Amino acid sequence: MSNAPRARSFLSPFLFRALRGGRRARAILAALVLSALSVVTGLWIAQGDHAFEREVRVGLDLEPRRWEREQAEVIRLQFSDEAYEHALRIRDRAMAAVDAGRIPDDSEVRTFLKSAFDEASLLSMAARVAVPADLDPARREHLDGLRREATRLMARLQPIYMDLDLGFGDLHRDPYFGGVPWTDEREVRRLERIVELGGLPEIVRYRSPMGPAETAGLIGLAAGFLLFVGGMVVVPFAAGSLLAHEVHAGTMAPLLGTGLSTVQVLVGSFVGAAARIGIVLAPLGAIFLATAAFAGGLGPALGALATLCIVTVALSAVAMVGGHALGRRLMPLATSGLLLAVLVPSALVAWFVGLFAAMGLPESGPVIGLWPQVAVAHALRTAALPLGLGVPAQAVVGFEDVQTVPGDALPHLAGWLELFVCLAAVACVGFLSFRALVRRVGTTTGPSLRRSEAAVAYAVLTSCALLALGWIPEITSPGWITSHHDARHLVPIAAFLVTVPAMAMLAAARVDGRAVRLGVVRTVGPEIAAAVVAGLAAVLLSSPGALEDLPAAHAVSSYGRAAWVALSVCLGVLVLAVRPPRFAGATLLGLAFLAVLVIGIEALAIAEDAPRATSSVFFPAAEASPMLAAAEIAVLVVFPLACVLRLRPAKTRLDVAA
Amino acid sequence: MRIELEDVCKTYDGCRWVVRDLRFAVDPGRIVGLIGPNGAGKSTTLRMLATQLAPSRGTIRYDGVPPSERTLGEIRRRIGFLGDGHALYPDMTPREYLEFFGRCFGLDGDACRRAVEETLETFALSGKADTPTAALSKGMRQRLSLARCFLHAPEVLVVDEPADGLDPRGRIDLRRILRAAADGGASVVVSSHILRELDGLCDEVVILRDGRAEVIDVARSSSVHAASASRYRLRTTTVEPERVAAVAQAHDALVSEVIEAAPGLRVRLLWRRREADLADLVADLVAAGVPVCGLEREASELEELYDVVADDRVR
Repeated sequence: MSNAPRARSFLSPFLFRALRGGRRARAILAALVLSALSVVTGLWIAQGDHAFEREVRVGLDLEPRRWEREQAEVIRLQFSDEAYEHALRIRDRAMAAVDAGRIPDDSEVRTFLKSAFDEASLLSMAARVAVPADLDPARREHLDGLRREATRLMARLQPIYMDLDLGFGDLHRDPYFGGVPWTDEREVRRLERIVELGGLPEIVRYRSPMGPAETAGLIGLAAGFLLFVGGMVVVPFAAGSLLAHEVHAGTMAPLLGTGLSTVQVLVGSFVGAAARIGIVLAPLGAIFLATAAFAGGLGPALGALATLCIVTVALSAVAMVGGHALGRRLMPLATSGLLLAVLVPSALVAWFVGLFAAMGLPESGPVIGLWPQVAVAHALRTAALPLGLGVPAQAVVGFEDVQTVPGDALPHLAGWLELFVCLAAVACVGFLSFRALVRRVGTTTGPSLRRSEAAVAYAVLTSCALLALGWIPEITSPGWITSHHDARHLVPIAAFLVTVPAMAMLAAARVDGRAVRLGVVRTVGPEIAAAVVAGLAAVLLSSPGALEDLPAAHAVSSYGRAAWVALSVCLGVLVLAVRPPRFAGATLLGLAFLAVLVIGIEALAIAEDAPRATSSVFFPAAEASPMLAAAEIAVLVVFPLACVLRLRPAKTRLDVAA
Repeated sequence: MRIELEDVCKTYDGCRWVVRDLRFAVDPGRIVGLIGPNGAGKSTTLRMLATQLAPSRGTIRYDGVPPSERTLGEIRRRIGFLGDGHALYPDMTPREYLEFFGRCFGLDGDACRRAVEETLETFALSGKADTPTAALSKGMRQRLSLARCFLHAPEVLVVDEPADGLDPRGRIDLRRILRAAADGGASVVVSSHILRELDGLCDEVVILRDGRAEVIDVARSSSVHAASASRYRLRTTTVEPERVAAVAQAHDALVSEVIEAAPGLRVRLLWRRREADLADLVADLVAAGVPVCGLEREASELEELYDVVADDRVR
């Protein structure tokens, strides 16, 4: 049988199970509802004229902030018809006051005039600063005329501003500007507009400035968000909890007894879990592709969907490993709750980080390496709303530094490079998770991962950690290296410590179910030690200045602590995996993990403290209290020893090979 | 399909054998009963027979061939295995459940639906075919689990405690279905804690003790019977136990216990002769003026066999 019919054959029962009864119809109905919802939401956010919709668009960098636009266009925005009518009346009263040359006893008019102080400041400055002589004569003549107009208007406004609390003197303080930039085209246009309006800003009823491309992009982003939730939360949750149910109900054995291979059963389970959600998400994918193609291009949209699919599959493999492991010990409901508790917050935070990363802030990019959901959010956002789309603010004089820079090539390129690295890493981790799951489901003996597979997984994760931490400009920039902080010493240890949980999980995956009582420490211990040495060597080799200026005592203390943390966490996780303690033991283990965390932080603090060397190198806690130092020594010795004793081999061994 | 176990051993932790040196065969058309005390390794043996577990040592051959990575799927498709628990999906109906497993076994559309309907009929599940499994009684769930094992007409049936939760009608039906499967050429391995359920059903019995197996051909186990005594309970309205004892002694039987149970006696007899000879005993008792209200065997044939062979030490 060729591959396609074989796949159809083994997938058929799982698709039947997922879509039996009215499930397919319900999925189609949900798809229609969600598609309509994404279109309505996109249209609402794109064309809504109220403050909330505008804030969302401002947050997505599709239009300038209110004050930026009001300053640039010399207007005052009103968000309802009533407010607009009212503001027009106030402006008319203010204009009448200016014409009369006296300020009325009308608080609303006074407030309006105060709010026009910025415009008056520019007029005042134009009156005081001469037009440069080296300009083109025609241009100079035009600007001189503008200056005369500004001077005349300022003279007219002067009594009003003298009467206001601000006082005329405040106009000369020039709070925002150092001088009239006659050579700045935007400022000149602004001045022309102020003169044209008689020194008082125009009242404008706010209307969404989004054009068809932005509207399409926002519809695509709404569909993208639903796709993101489906791929990052719903599919992994469904796959993980389905496996937890299968394991808990004991249905996995009958399934394997049907002649389907373990791989077929697991792939079928995933496809079955994903099929119904796939029906719901398919129209959303079409909407995303169509709108993103209109707003930006089809290529990025296809790339974003490919990213979504890769990360969804990998995340589902990890969730299935979790579901299988937890399903053997917990009720399915508890397992589902734990899966949701992990998936939902990480996905929602990742969505916002992904949006942030897509706004041309390069420092957010490397986060992607360790957090694949961010990569998906980043890709979806970039595809739906390409950088440069929208109506970004014309830089307000003096505020250029807070403007985002759409289309900046370097962060854009760095972002895509990060995306590629992330995808490679997540695909590798997903594949190895699936391999581990196949071995764990197919047999109860033997390690879940081979030594080479565990080594590859650890190398990938260490590379991601180094990439992520090493590229954060705030840490690595020379300005951060002061007499109090030295990132060169801190980053390598932090990168190593970030990999420790992964190292512990991999150590647990290396335990041979059959050899549990034959001495876990003897079989897996050397591999953990090798991983610690390799991890430390990797971070030191990739950080050339790691040991530079670091006193030997600090190096021994901080790196020794980091190594101890890695060994202890691995031993603790092995205890949990092989011989899980009961309530009291589990409580003690939890406290011990907290102590290990503190010692890890100490390792960082000792390295960071090196330039000052203000505290004790080996036992900083002793400065606070000798009792704390004694407790630390106890933890350093007792915790690993207790773990080793817990994992000690059985006395009798059978000769299985005989 | 003939299954042969050759010196099969299994350990989960490398420190203790769960079963060891199992050596027996299951021929097509035969029903083998697997009995033993709790912890004797019955479920482990059944799971190994169903290829769900690999032996730590030794070989299991299916038609003379040990399973390999390539042949495992094909062998499993020829086995119907009922393990511990019900292994059901609460939100599926019996019809959906059987169709799902039918497709897993590789049955295509019409053949699958036909097999499902026949199996539902066989196991008296047609009336509940569209009721969610969660709403079924324990007995109905057990019927459904059994139905799944028979759905693809397997050549080997390995069933662990198949009568668990079944009502009397279900138990009778089960015996009939198992015998029909064996008569159809299937090799059947069945385990049960309730030995009476296996009485008259098994052609061979494998008694597991201390992880080792002792195989007894039930039809040829007269020597075992001869070496032991069967226990019978006699109910009579007489109040003279001496008269009963005298007649029993004449037939080489022993009165082991007499309990007064108005309006007569309940007498426990140890009977060493053939079961057929009991008719003579009853005739002599009546002739001696002992009205016989009832005579029944206290333990089943397999229970007595088990009593002789196994020591019931839980390991």
